[in-house]
Amino acid sequence: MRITRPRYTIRDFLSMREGAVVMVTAVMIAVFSVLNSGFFTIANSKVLADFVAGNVAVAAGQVMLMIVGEIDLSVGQVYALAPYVMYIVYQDGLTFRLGIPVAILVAALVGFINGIVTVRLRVPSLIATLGMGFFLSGFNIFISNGWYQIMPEQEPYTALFGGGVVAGVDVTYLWTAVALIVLAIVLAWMRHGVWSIATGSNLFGSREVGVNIRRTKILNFVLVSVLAGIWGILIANRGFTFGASGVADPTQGGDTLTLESIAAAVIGGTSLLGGSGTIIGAFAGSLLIAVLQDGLILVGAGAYIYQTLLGIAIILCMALNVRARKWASR
Amino acid sequence: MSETLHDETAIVKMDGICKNFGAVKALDNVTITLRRGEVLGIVGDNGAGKSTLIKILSGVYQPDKGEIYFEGNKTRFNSPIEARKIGIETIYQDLALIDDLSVYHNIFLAKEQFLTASSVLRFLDNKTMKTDAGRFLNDLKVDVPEIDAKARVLSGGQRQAIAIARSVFFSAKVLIMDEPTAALGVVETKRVLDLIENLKKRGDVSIIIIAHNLAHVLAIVDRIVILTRGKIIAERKAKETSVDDLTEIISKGALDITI
Repeated sequence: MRITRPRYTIRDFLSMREGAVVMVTAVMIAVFSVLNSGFFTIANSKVLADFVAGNVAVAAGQVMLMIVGEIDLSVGQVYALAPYVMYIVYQDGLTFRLGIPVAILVAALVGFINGIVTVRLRVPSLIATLGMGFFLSGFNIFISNGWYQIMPEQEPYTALFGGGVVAGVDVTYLWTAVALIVLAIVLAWMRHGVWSIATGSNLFGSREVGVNIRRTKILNFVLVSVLAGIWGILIANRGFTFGASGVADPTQGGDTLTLESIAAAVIGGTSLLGGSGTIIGAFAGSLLIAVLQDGLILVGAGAYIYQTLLGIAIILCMALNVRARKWASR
Repeated sequence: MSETLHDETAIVKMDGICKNFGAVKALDNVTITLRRGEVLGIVGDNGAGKSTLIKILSGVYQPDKGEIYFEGNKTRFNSPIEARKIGIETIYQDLALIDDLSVYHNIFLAKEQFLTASSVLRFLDNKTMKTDAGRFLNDLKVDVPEIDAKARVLSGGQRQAIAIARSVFFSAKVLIMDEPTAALGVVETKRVLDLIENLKKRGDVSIIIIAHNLAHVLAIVDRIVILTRGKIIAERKAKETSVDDLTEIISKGALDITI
């Protein structure tokens, strides 16, 4: 066996699936910084961080699920459901000490059902979770009578789950950092990560060797759903961090969050066909969307036109991403 | 039939195997012995029953009649997993490797090594797996670009060699290779044949090879059996036969039975 010592170059960096998007994001940051002096400021970095912290964990979960070749279109609805479940438990006279675990269990159950329907009933996850998404958006309106509720403040749970600030840092940022690091470790140093890649890359070959492909898939359905539930709770409590109240809103998250999580994963280099994707890619993808949204507002794109521009920008960035990778692998 | 077989030299004996698919007799009373450390070739035309025979040995099919003895004891496999458990591995050319995993993760897939022995939270021992896989491939003289290269970048022959090495690494006793050199170029074919040669020298694994290409088979096997329409019509030692001889047996045998 010959072992050749590799030399890393800028081309190697760009040929990595997530390398190019990091580059594109850096370019975008530079462009907006030049166009508007308010962009590259501490105040604005807080705006970007809030956006990223709101969805990147769900995007990272979506990456794990996309690695096994599946997708979840119901995460946005779980994001709204979990805080509402927490609120209902409180309404029944119980505390968040029970409310939070129950809400997370409900989220896990949704993921488990998505997994079972996909793996056992063999309904493609695109359809299974589309159905689950519709079901939950109706269910959320039904249990809430279509109305939001002000979250009560119950310490330490409120502070711990999104309402607190530790040493000047929003707890949601800390949760986000922990989630991303844990998922990156799972991918690189745990069997579940290797099995996820194997399952998505070569389903029958993996099964032949002895990989439990069903359990691997179901675990990732549960994972992304639990992440959506936890981040729904964190964001519902966020109001407390700036002196307002938290809100359990049945329309929180929704299809926008679902699409953002998928966009962040795909922009970050996750293959729609399964087998590859990275957590750092999800972060870069989420940051790129945040930079575009925020940057477009700051340079004065009107509220009505800004989503249109965002759509164009996402496609342009992806095209650029693909170009950069092609150039690098030439 | 007896429960044990008193033949120390045989690792596998398939005795009086019959298998029908509807009205088609795929295998008709086939008896075949694989000796320890031997490389056995099975040749025959399309539809001769080669694939059915090895699928029975690897647990994919169950025989209608006949017995399988493994290391002297009568055995029965209800699935490929059962066959693999006792040490009979089948190498499938296309299914073998995971493109998106590194060479060493491929070798250790579903047999991962962990840093801590017994706990719920187990971390992979990537370093040990990398070193062990590298050393083993080196021993077998399997040439790979880098041990942490993704399988995607490997050539057909390298993939095949790594799939074979993987089974041997996890102490397979019997290796079944279905057309190991099909769809490979000249250099790549040599790579695989060289590996089989190396395994033969080590002598701790017995190999069954199924192939169309008589020249390839003859170059590496010790013994060769010829199947035609579900029956064994001839058996030759590799040293005592030639491609022409085998071709004649196969075409003549096919003719005899047709007429």
